[in-house]
Amino acid sequence: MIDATARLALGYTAMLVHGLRHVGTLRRPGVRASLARQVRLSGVQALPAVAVIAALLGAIVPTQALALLGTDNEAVLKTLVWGGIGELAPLATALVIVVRSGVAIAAEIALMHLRSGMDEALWRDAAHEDEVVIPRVLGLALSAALLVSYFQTIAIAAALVASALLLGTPLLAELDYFLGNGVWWQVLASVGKGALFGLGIGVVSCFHGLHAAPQVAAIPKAAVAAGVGSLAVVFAIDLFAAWLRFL
Amino acid sequence: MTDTPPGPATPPPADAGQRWLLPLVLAGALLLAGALAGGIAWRRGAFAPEAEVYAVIDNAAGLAPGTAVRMSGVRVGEVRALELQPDLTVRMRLRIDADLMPRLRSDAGGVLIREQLRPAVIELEPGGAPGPLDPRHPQIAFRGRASLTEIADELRGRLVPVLDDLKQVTGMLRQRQGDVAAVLGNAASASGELAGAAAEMRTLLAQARSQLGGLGGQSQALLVQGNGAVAKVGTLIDQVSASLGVVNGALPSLIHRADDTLAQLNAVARDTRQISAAAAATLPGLLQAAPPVVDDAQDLLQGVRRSWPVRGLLPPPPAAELPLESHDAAVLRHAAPR
Repeated sequence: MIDATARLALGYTAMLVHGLRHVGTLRRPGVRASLARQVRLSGVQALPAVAVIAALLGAIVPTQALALLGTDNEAVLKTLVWGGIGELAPLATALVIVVRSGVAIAAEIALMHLRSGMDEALWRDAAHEDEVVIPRVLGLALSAALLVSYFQTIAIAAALVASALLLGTPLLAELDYFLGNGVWWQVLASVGKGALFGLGIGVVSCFHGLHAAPQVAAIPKAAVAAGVGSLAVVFAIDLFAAWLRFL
Repeated sequence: MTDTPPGPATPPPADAGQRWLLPLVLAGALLLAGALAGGIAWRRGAFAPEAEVYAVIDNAAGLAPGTAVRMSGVRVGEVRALELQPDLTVRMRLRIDADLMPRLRSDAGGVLIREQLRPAVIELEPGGAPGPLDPRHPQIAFRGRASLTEIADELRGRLVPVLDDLKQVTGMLRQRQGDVAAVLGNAASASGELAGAAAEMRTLLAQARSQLGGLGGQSQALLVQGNGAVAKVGTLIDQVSASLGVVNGALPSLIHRADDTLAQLNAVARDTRQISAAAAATLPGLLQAAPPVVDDAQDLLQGVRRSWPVRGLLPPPPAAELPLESHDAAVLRHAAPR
């Protein structure tokens, strides 16, 4: 169990390092087009779903906080700022990406392997791997950052509206209070954390897709492994970010 | 929903709308993140001129960089840094709006307010001293207001010695469990005796209750008798009242009659006085004529007494005593034979 986990961690790391070393392949128009396509698929097309989730969560957080903590405006906003922006937005966005894109990427790459008919040596060719991996990994990172940015903005807007309605206070006053209690770099850190989540999901998904056996039965296995591995990586990155905060 | 596999060499061309959609969405994300971060930074005074004051505190528990600094309840800054000093005090640097600096006096201070479920807040008090805060050494006083947790900790600190003492006492009691058993035996016997005494007391109470019952009956009979006597007295009083009514009714006539009687008596007295006066006028002559008559009567009696039929019947007369007064009528009436 530990050996398998260590092997997976090493494989993920090798995949990430390899991808970063070949970022230069983005100069190729085909790879750039593939990247743009991946961002459209994983980011733009996921935006409505993420917006709905953000609006619902943003409205629920102050409602629950008000119910638990009383009508304490500042505590609710603190909860929203630190919990909503710092944790909820990247995490919820990562879950959406894992469910919607990570598993699909792993299945897609495994299917490409199956349908291409290439042998193992050619399939593992570095150039070909770059063309497959780089657009997906960077595309998921960009998509996650994009979605986190929208998620936190929509969640905060919904939270301010819900808070104003519950407390009967003017919306602008709520906004002013929120801005006064926020931390500016937290917004950017949240976007960065979302990008890291996307990067990790992309690496894990590509790894399991690339290492799937050229058999039909291997495709769902690769999808499942990509989903579980992506979630594990997301929480590991989150833990690492929390550790960095307490340094 | 699955992603469509991108072709590595010739991806399908996107239409014009989709071509612009991606840059727009990306630009929107950048704009939103930048606006949010910039708005927070602007609201928290990142672009405004700022000043710094500091306080030296003993304990920075509950404080952290970013803790809000307020004045009159309005956020005016935040804690910038907490620096541990060689003497283990903490130098707390506060960033506040530069506009507020002239309003801080030399006795300005800060109060740490910590309440449950609320973030810590430092309330800045500008002070009232005539001199302003020295900008070269902008040190302010600082004091904390204890939270419920701190009060609970303090209470716990006070209770711990008491609990230790209690534990020791409990240990001693456990050691003296035998004594306690003996005491408990004595207490049990005392309880038995107390139970006996209680039974006796109960008996006494029952007797007293019966006696009180008898006394109550007697008292009731006496009360009945008393009521009868009172009724009789009432009847007598009624009779007396009736008698007094009769007397009251008869009294005026009696008084009237008495008045008449007195008037008649006065008349009688007046007649008597007249008769007396008349008698006084005739009496001296009678008195002058009386002695010879008396002497004659006396001689007559002496003669009778000396006569033989009587002399044997009568004892000899006693020797005559001389009258004290010659004018005494009794002497005159019973004068000794001469």
